Amino acid sequence: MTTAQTVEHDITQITENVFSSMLGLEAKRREASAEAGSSTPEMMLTSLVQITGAWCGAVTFDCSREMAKRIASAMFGSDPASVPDSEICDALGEVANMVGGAYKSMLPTPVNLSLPSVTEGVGYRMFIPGSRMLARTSFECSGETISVTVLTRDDKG
Amino acid sequence: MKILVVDDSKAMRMIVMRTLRQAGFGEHTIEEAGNGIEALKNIEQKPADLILCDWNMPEMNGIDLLKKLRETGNGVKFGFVTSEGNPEMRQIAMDAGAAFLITKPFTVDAFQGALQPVLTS
Repeated sequence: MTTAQTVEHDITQITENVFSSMLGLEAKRREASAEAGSSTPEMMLTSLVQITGAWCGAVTFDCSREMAKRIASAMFGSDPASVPDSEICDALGEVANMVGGAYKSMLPTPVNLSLPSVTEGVGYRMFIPGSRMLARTSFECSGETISVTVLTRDDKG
Repeated sequence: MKILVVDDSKAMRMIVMRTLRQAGFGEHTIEEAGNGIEALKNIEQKPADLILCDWNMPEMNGIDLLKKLRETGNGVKFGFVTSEGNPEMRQIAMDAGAAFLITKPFTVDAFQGALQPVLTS
């Protein structure tokens, strides 16, 4: 198994567990070839936690605004149609925190986890200077595609 | 009994409080705080019997809150509910006086197993 495959395996287990036990939603891993690219640009959200120390990098979580509403609704026990932006942001940050925190526990110590940050927009790209993508794992959840990406910084900078 | 849930994420506070009810602890008074500073203010008003606390938070994090409580002679029962659960952090938590550490994602069973002995002791 390559490093990327090992990371994808770990991220799959973590993400499926977070979604089933904390949100009551099923996230099923999707093969890369099955990723459906949307022809229409849509509002997307990315939440991110950075990890620093003996291993440096980041874990990001991407989904559409509609999926973000469902996640927030599952966390708050509220109607997806009336979830305020603050709760969407809070919920997405917590998903990155849980997935990133669980991944951190598999890394060599000492490592520190940042507080989460959340970005929203259409057609944006996110960069962490000096980092490269280690693995990107996509899942199908409630008919939507969600993705978890692990970035690493080799310079530990 | 008063249980204080401390987490900077409102979403996570909701999930923890929901899990407390599902685990059979719904008859207790459950209050919430968004960080360690807010938690200290809360228990100044009325002491808690158990604090369930996140680790990573702005203003004052969970381990600093626990150390502050113990420094001031407050022996309130204290457990972490956090996404970080490696052996080193567990050791730091126990050395500082935590009774348990529950990792996110968690289950109702995990809450029952961790809280039942603490609340009945």
